[in-house]
Amino acid sequence: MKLIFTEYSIILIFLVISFILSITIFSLSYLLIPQKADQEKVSAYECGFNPFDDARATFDVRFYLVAILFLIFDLEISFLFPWSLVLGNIPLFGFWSMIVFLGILTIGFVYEWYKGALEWE
Amino acid sequence: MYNFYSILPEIYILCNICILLMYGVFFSTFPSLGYPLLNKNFNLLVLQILIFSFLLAFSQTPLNLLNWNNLLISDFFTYYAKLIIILATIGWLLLSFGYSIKEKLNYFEFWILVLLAVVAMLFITQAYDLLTIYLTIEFQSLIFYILASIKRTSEFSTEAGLKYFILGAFASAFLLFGSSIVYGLTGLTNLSDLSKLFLGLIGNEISFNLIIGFIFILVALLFKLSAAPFHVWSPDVYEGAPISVTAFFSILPKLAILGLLFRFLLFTFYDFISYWQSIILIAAFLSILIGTFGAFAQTKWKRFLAYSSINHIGFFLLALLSGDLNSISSVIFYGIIYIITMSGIFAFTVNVNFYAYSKTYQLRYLSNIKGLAKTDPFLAFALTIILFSMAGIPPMAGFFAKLFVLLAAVQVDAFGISIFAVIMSCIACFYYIRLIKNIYFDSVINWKVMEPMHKMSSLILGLSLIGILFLFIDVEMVSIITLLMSIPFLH
Repeated sequence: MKLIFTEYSIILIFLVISFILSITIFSLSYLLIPQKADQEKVSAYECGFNPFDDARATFDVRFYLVAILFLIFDLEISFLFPWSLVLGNIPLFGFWSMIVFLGILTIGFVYEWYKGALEWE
Repeated sequence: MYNFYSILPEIYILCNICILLMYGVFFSTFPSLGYPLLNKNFNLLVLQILIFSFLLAFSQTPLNLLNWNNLLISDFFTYYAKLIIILATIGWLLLSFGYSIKEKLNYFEFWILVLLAVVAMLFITQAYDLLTIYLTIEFQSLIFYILASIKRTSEFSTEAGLKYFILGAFASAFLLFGSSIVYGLTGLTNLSDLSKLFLGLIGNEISFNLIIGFIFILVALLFKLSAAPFHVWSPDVYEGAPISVTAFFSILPKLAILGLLFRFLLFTFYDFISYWQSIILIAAFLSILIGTFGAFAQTKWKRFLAYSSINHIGFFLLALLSGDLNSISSVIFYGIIYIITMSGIFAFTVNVNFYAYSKTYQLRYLSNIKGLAKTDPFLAFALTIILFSMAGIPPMAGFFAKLFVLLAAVQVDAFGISIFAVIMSCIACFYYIRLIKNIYFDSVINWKVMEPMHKMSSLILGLSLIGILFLFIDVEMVSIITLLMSIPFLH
């Protein structure tokens, strides 16, 4: 039981520190900077189009493309971190399966590049 | 090393998919070559890949082992099911050979998606863990959603894709929810571990909750199989998708998912047979009922074939009721005959085009075949044979398929549903024979001019015709394979 608590206490400390850090940063940025509100600043922010508009407007598919691409590479990163931590302990099979994964990811990347999914205009 | 040996055809196809993708994307975006269309090249390359993977799968020894950390299984069923799936895909490829060029389905991604779908189906036959079941089914479904909406410029196609996606996502969520309930109650995901745990668990208080999870998984599988209470998507998706994709949906995935259903019902949840028997009974009853009476009202070929396949699914489920060796082998037999018959009828429907001066139009309505006996007597005869087989007229293969299913059902005293199935297939005869009447006896005012069929698809039509006509000479040949395939499911 003791052993489990020592392991979880690290997470608790991590949570507390991150909580304090985020509160500090947020409150400092709220207190220290000069605030001049105008309509653009206080209105809700939407990327790429007006927040209050006709809902039937065509929505550019490129936003979705970027979101999907981001998702894939984000997942790749979250996959790579634990792998790189335990790289010394895993057998050769673990190494090569990651290499195969990266290879397939590269093929997908080359595909979308040539298809023009990365060009904005 | 057996890990890799057991999935060698899949690895081969996946490597080739990577190469093909690079080939396609480099050449189709190459300015100095004038952005070439790679449709024909891809067609032939995919055919070659499938033939080589068939040889690979064929030359393997059928092994009985669990591999990849007990996530996959290979046994006699997976060995033969792989061969059948790859062969059926080759058949599908040949019959849609002319269609994709004629209809200008000029996306090379289409062929890559087809190969990926084949890989997914090969994995579904081998899935042996709730995790792999979910992953492989989702893999297959995602590809099917894209395939249904592959014709981006057509409203029907995108509508079909969207409908399929929304309903299929629901079914997948059900599958995941059911799996999570089963996992939460037992802490196990492996099918054989679960089946060991369930020995003598009936009557325990945990079993009631387990049944809820089990029903969720079963509903999802029945949805993917388009069995009756969960069939509503299938006529719409079949109608909206391009007809070569419709052929793909109706020929290929049934056998793979059926294998999964066997593993699930007859192996893992065999001890719950008294519970799932009634569910399967209702599904079989409704499938046969709706499949038969739904097909009456249809005027279009694709919807007609969709309801007809729901009817066939009803027969699959009917034989599954008893869960003994006979019934499993009869279902697999029915599945093989179903694949052969469907290849034949789709080789007809995909490739028939009429000239209406200056332009051609596809076969769309059932009444389009009026007077076919005069315009193309051989094709009319072939279609008649296939329709007779689907109706279950004695010397054709379809009769033996239905016979074995009904025999297996009668052996376990399921008389009521058997008599019902016989009556329903008598009623179903009416609309198959109405089509034959259309072909031979209806008079037409405007005679139609038909385009000659593509060579490859006529080859498939001929092969399927030979299969249907001459199966009765050597039924043993097929039934030995089906027996071998059904042995691994014995409890």
